[in-house]
Order: sequence, then C-alpha cells, then structure tokens
Amino acid sequence: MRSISLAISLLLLGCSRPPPPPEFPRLALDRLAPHIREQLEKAHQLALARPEDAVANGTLGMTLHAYEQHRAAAVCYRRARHFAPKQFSWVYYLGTVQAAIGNNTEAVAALREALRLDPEYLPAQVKLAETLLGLGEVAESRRLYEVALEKHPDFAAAHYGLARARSAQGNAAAGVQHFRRACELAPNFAAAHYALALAYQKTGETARAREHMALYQKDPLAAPPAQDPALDQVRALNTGPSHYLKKGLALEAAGRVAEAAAEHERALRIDPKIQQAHLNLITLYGRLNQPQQAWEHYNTLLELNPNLAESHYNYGVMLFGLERYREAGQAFERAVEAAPRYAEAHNNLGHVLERQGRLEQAMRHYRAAIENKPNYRLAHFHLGRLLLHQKRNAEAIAHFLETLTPEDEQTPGFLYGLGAAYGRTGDRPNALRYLTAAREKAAALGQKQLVASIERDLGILEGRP
Amino acid sequence: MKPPPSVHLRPPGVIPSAARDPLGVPAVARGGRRSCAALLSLVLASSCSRKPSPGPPDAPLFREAAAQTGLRFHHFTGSTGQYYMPEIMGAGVAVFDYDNDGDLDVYLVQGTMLDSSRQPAAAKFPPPPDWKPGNRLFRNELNPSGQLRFTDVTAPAGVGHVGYGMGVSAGDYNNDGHPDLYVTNFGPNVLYRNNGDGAFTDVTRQAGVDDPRWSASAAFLDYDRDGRLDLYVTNYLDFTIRGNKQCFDSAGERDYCTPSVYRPAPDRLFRNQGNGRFEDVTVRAGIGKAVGPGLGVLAADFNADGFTDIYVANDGAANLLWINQRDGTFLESALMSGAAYSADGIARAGMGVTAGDMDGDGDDDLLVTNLAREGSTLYRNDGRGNFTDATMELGLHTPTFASTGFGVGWFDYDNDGRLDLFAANGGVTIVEAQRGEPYPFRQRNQVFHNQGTGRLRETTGQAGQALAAMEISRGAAFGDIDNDGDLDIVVSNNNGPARLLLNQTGARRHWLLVRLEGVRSNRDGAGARVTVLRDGEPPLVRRAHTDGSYLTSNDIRVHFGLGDRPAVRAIVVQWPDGSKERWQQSETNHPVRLKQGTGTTE
Repeated sequence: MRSISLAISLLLLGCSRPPPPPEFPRLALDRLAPHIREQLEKAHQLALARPEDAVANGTLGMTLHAYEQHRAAAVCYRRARHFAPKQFSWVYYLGTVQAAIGNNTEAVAALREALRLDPEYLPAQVKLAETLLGLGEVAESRRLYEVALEKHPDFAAAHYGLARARSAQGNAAAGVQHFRRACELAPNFAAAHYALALAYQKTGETARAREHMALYQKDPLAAPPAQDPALDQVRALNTGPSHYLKKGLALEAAGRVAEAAAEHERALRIDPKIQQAHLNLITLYGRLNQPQQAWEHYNTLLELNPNLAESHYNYGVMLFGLERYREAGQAFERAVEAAPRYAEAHNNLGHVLERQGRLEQAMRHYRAAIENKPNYRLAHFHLGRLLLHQKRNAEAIAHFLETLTPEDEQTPGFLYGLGAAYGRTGDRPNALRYLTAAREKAAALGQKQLVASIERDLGILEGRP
Repeated sequence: MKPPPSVHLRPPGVIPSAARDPLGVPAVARGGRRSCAALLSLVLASSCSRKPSPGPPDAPLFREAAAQTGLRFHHFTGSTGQYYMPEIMGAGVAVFDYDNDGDLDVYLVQGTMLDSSRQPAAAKFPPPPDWKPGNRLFRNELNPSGQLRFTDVTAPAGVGHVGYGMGVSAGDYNNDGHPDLYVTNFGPNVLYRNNGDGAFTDVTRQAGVDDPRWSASAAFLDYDRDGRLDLYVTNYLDFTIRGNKQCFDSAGERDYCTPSVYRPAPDRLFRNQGNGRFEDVTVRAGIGKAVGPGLGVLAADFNADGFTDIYVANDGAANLLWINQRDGTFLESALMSGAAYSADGIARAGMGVTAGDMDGDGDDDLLVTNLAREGSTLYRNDGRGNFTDATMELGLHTPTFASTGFGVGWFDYDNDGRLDLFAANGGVTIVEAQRGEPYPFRQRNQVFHNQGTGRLRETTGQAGQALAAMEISRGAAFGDIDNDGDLDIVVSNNNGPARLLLNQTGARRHWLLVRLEGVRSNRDGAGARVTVLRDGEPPLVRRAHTDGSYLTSNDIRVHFGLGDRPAVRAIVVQWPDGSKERWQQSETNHPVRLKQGTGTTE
C-alpha cells in the first residue's frame, strides 16, 4: 500500500513538472555579413556557456530578433521563458516574433501570458488585439481595443484598430467614426486616412473620400510613432548598415540632409561596399553643395559596379544643379548606355541637349523617355514644347494633354503649356480655358511667378492693354 | 525647367471551320430537347446523365501523377550564383486543347542560361541528364486511348522556343477554332499560331506583338467587343544582366533583390486588327497612364456594365484596375475602388491573381498572392467594381501569412457549388529555416475549402502527399485534365519538376462542364459570363477565361460543381459582345457545348 502511494506520488510529480526547454536553434551563420555574424556568434557562445541562464538565452533571442531571424529567436525566447517564467520581456518578445512569422495562435497565447504578467503594457494589448483580428477573432479584438481606449482615449492606433474591427462586423458607421478619430489624433496617420477614404467612397461621399485619399498619398507610410520601450531594446541591437541607411532615409525625407549623409557614412564604416549608400551620398552631397565628396562616392561606386546606371544619373543630376551642363550630359549619356530604357536619364539627357541647341537629338531622347515610361509627364511636356517650337502644333497638344493627370504642383505649369499651345493654333476658347485653369491652380498653390506669367499671356489673349 | 530630382533614396535591397466538334456533343437544344443518341457516339466515357464516380470516401483530395503519366519536365533556372532576378521568378504553364481532341494538353515554359557564355552543366544547379532545352508541349492521349498519358510532341509542333521563358497564354486570336499560344520571356516574346494540323508557326513579327522587355503574365481578352481577342502583356522590371545589383537580406547574406531596386517596365495592350496583325494601342487606350512592375493579369467585367475590364497585380506597387470606358480607352481606378492596396494602404508584392464569385453574390471577387509576412489579399466585390479587403474576415490572413504565393485559382475542388482556393507557394528570398541550404526557397502549396459561411478553411492536410512537398512553385493551371468532371491542377516549379495534381474528390458530386463557341463573339467565348440556374438554389456564375493565376493559362471550359442538386433548369450566357442567350438544360455530369446563336435570346 505504501509503495502504491509512493508510485502515485511520483507519477503526479512527473505530470506536474514542466516540459524541458527546446534545444538551442541551429544557426547557419557562415554567409552572414561579418559584423552581424560576430554579434550573433558572441551571443550564441554566451548562451551555450550558460544554457540555463534566462538572460543569456533571451539576449541571443533578442539579437536574432533584431536581424529578423524570428524562428530562431522564438526558440531562444521559449528557453528564456522556461528559466524565468515570470519575466515579462521573454514572453512578450515570444509573442511578437510568433506574430511576425504568422503563428498567430501561438502569438495570442504568449501575448495573453505577457499581459497576465503586466496587464498595463499598452503595446502588448494592442498587439494582442491586432493578432486576434488577423485570426478573424473580431469580437475579441474589438473588446480589447475598447478596453485600451477606456484608459487611453486618445490612442490613435487603438481607434484605428477598433475601426477595423467594427467595420469587419458590418458596422460601417462605427468604423468611420473611429477612423476619423484616429485621423484627428494623428493627422499623418496614412493608414487611417486610407481606410476612411474608402469608407466614404462606399457611402457615396466622394469629396470627403478624395480629401482623405489625398492626405494618405502625401506619405503612405506615415504613422504615429510606435512607443514600445521593450521592443526598442531589441531594435537597438541592430547595428547593421541597413539600420543606418533607414535612419538616413528618414532624415532625408524630413529635410535633414546633413544628418542623413552622416548616417549613410556610418553605414559605410560598417560595410564600405554598400552600393546604395554610395549612390544616395552622391545625391546628398550634391544637395549640400559638396561636389568633391559626391565625386568621391561616384568614383567608388564606379569601381564597385561600373554598370550601375543610377550612379551616372545621380552624378549627372548633381552636376546639372551646379550648372556644369556638359559634364552632366556626359553622365546622362553613360546612364543610358548602361540602361538603354532608363526614362529619366533619357529625359535629362534630352534637356541637356536642348540647352546645347541640339533639338532633334533632344527630341529623340524625350521620345525614348516616353516609350519607356508612357506616363512620364515631364518628358511629354518637354517634347510638346519642342514640337510647338517646330510649329507641329497638333502633335504638341497631344503630348501636353498627357501631362494633365495626376494633379500635383507641376500641373499649373503643364496647363500653362497646353493653353499656350492652343493659343498658337488660334484655338482661343481652349487657350482661355486652360490658361484660366492654370492661373487658378497656380494661385491655389502659391506659385506667384507662374501666376504672373499666366496673367500676362491671358492679358494678351483677352486683348487687355 | 530643371530635370527631375535624383532617384529616390532607398536602402539596399534586402534591400509573369469550322473545326470538328471533338466531343461529338451537339449544342444543347433550344427548348430543352436533347439527343442522347448523338451523345452515345462520344469518344469520351460519358453519357446523357452520368452519375458521379463514388470513389473511396477517405481518399486524399489530390494525387500527384506527373511522372506516372509521362509529364516529365524539370525547370532549369540557369543560375550561376549571381542572383539574376529572372532566375527566381519563372516559370509558367498552360493547359489547353491544342489538337481539339477533347482533352487538355500541357505546355511548360523553360529557362536557360542567362550567362550565354556558359553551358548548362556549369550552372549552379545543373539540369538532369535527360534534360532538353526549350519549352515543351505534351499531348494528352486520353482521347482516344482512354488512358491519361502524355507524349512530348514539342518537335513536330514546333513550339520549343529556347529563351528565358516566363509565362504563356492560350487563345484563339484568329478565330479559326485552334487555340494559339503567346509565350512571354525575359527578352522577346513569341506568338505561335496554331495551324490546326498539329504544328504551330511563329508569327510574332508579322503579328506585331513582340515586346523585348521582361514580360510576365499575359491575357487574351476582347476589350472592344469586336469579336476578336486582343492581348494584354504585363511587363515587370527594367532588369539587365549587365546592370545586376547586389542585394542582401536582413542578416547581411546575399539574396535576390526586391523589385524596388529596379525601375518598373510599362505594360502593353495590343488590339487585334483581324488580319493576323495587332496594333499597339497602349497609349491610345490610356494604359500608359500607370506603370508598375506587373506580374499577374486577368480580364473580367468587374462593374457589370457588359465591358471587360483588366486587373493587374503589381509587385510592391499599387495594383491596377483598368475600367473599360466603352470607347476603346481605360481609366485606372484601383485606388478609389479599394483594389490597389491592402486594407492598411500598403502596397503588397502582388504576384498571382484570380477572380471568381467566391461569395455567391454574382460578381467576381479578387484574390492576389503576396510575399511571406504580407499574406494574400482577398478583395470582395460589391458588384459595382468597389472592393473591400476581406482577407481577415474570411480567415485567410493567418494561414497565408507565412507563404510567398504565386499561382492561384478559385476552383470548386469538391463540386459542392462553392469556389475553393489553391495557392502555389515558393520563396523569392531566403526562407529562414532553410538558411545554409543551397536553394533555400522551398514552401508548401495550400488548398482552402469554401465553407459557405463566409470563411475559407485550410484543408492542405487532407490533400495527401500531393501537397506535402516543399518546393518552389510558380504557375498553377486549372482544368479537368482527366475529363472526370472535377478540376485538376498542373503546377510548375522553379528549378524543379512539374506536378500534376489529379483531383480525387470532386467527381463524387454532380458537375457540368461548358464549352462555349462564339460566332459574333470570339470563338473561345473568352470573357463570357455563364450562369447556371437551379430551382431552390442560388445562381452559379462563372466566367470563361484562360487568364489569371501566375504566368499561366487555364482551361477555357467553364466548370460548375452542382453538389447533390444536379437538376439544371437553364444555362444563361452573357457573351462578350453584350448579347445574352438561354438554354434549357436538365442533364449534367458531362460536357456541353453552347454555340452562340443557338439559344433563346434574352
């Protein structure tokens, strides 16, 4: 009897013991970039040396995670969680990498567990809601967004998520309400503007739809900053060149050109052969009026890849900006030689040739630009001008008509060209029509010089003194 | 005016006669009269009202039978370790009845060495010893032998183009009753005219449909309703071997580039002039107003105005929805119609595309396959050409998230009357779990069952060994290869063997296979909408097409699964020329041929 009791006790003890942690992931590091390989090898060695140390396992996971090796990271996080089950970060990270690889059911389980450890961590709440939405668990997702908004009513991302959930449940009005709120709270929230535009389109409110679609199109990737201190620690481990390149691009987009150049240089200190960094620096130094530096990167790029058409093109644009037109033309020629269908290079070369008075050659290149990019408005405009100059008015007008859509800050100039073309043909009604439209749009955009030019021509057309 | 600014700064790349009626099947008569006697002379094993085949109840959904049936083809990428982008993108497949004997033949597109100075044996992945260069045509011997068997007839047919092949589209562009082939390449494309005697002639130059760019998928369509098939060709990128760029993945390992590092190439629309020639109407038709890296294309009437529209899946850029303006021009409308991007306004890597009435409301819904970590996108049509991203609600987001999808199709695999889904998957960048392997891009294909409740449930696990393989799949062509009433699939694999997935399930239920014959409309009836009406059941609406999927051409016959309710009250056909006809039809489980002009005009 006593031996049976002992056996039962041992059996129960065995059943209650947690399963062993997974084995370390197999890491194939040989072909990785050297500095990334070193970083991962170091973290790996540390974890192997301390296999039951949660921090060592978790740090390896974070390093893998930083370089988007999510499956391997998930294994490490599971190991870390095994040895430190009450530590929020390991189970939260596990949830995020599971979501990143599409294991949404596992992600939900991990995120729920993380929220049991820290119920107030807002990014985890939102991530869980988002993951449930991805699983089609709309009602549960909605509830979580609503809970988040109870405590954080001005959280734009939660309004956006709730809007998606409500829309998925068939409540379009509630969807519009929350998309609108998200846009109000975060005016640059592109995804919210996009969704709101489509929602208005469905209800027939086309003006509002177009308004929000235009806001979306200003920067389709813009979003409110994701404040996630836990994940920031993971991101900070990515010290690869692409990290600095991304930073550089973001800075360039924000108009901070010198800082953008500095980040690109940082990327090159890690890997001097990154062609994209050299390519971007040609442009950045051109804008900083540092042609020598631009030339150095151009030359480096020629050694790395003499057939890279974009290097000749970017250098040519820089030279054009410095009014070194002959050299710019030579650069554009090299660009089209390397890439015969490079529409922008043809257009620019045409422009240089036009400046040199070589009009037939210029027109050939404008035509080549259009052949390879039929919607290239600038090339249509340039070709239209030269055709007008040759009194080939009907052809000119055909090309000017190709410049009218989509509407942007160049549209007034294109409309002006079209109006002028009609004026030359003696078609006064169309000339007036397009010149008037050009003036209105230029005025709306604050293009004062253009307005003045158009006014002069309108005056002539209308016979004003 | 200053030239435009320099290229947009980007991080490094981690940066598609009057022929003899082969079936001996008379057109379904007006008023419901039929001639069973004529049907008894069929070559095929079919009858007036054949019962579904019972089959073992627990058989896997599909059985792979390529090698067994002689469909032996191994795609060669010509890879040399330089990561030239075309290597990872091809290639496609067509299923079509080239010899008009009533069964589907198979055309498979082949790659070659991109570095022409080297021999195939020196490639990173040399082809098998018995490999032959060039595309291949396999004739299906089902008719008259009764046995499913394929014979390589490439040489006598004269269709073995040697080039860096991408896709293929079948269509009877000259309305002589013999389907022709348009083959797309990284390089000049080829139009093969079917001579009707088992051979083809390369008529590319005379026809004026060459395009030297990197072309992907193509679609035959009649956009101007003149009864002749026109041709839309997607072009992908301005890539050259000389201008090849080095790209790396997020861990700094060399990998194939993403399309964002190259400039997109403009698509082309060729209008069929009816004299064997086509006219490039790209600019005149307005198609030139939007340029993107096109990979997938299909033509359908999305806004139900009777005119064929065009949808293009672009890789990493806005998809395009060309709405036919009914005057020979198109207006690009994807953005405001909701079909350009996913629900969050982000461009996805659109590769394959399929359209079909998956929710049974009478219009064509779209599904576009994308990269891993994006998931496929399902756009539900409201009937007026406005689309809603319904991927999550229909349960497709999570199961497709980890896959990079290419060939895809709505198809009723179990003949229950609802459109199910198959996706051919295969990576284009390193699959993390395969890092360190020589060609680390393998993934598993997937099949989903339409539950009829507004959800799609993955049933890959029930598909058997046929869908257990991890390969790099690209094209997927759908058609009834063995003429047993259910839809089979031919899958082309990058750097691998073609696969024939024979459906073992659908034939247990009732079905109908409709072959259209246009008279005022194009001979194939391509673009027609066919509706099957049954008492007590919602209408089943399908379209006649060969386009869609990825680099692929599908069976032009229109398939209907009828479940356990086989009694068909009528079939209504809306022809591409706008006319509508009705036939009374009560017999099922065999193919029918409907000729324009023999039905009751509606």
